[in-house]
Amino acid sequence: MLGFLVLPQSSPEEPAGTPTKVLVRAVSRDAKIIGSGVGGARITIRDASTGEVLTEGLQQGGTGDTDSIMVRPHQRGTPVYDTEGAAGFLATLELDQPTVVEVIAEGPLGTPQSKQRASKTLLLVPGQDILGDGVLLEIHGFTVTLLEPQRSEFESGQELGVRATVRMT
Amino acid sequence: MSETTLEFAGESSTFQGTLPLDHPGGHEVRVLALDAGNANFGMVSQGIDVR
Repeated sequence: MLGFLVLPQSSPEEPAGTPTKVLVRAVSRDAKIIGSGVGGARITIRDASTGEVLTEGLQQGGTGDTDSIMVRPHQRGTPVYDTEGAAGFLATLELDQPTVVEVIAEGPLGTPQSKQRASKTLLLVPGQDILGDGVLLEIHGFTVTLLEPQRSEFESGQELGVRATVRMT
Repeated sequence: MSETTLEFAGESSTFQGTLPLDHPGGHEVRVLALDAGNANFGMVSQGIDVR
């Protein structure tokens, strides 16, 4: 859809802008949504030109539908991540003009050693809600957790047993 | 430096292996998960002392 806007010049005494919903989802590279089970993700939206933080919060919820995300071929226009209970962060911004924003995701928050950051910029338009799959930010990496060794002192000549879990971030 | 590949341990997402401890002193155990094809990597490390 194409359109055009005629906008009045803003003045300091003007009331707040138009409520505009923006749904953001941090997803794992080659896997599902970053859900509450791994601590969720911190989402920040900044005005790209001024750096002002417009909103921030936590992405919480489920990891999404495995079949939809990981198995079925993705078809243009068909939601992939937007299923019941799927994690996301829904913000409502008050915009008085089209605004370029930077959207930032950091996660997973439950394992600091594997936390990574992703960001992108995009133009938001007052009153034009972004819902459905939303703005997607892809986080790379694995979360590796060491189960063994659990002690730190050994005798020379021993064998060291190593055991670890590896999960998609 | 000693290096080995961890094998699937029979439990979901779990891998295991062994390394000989032949040299006394401080060491670092570092476990790396690698999938360059998807640009996915992960790492955890822990210090150990061998007497």
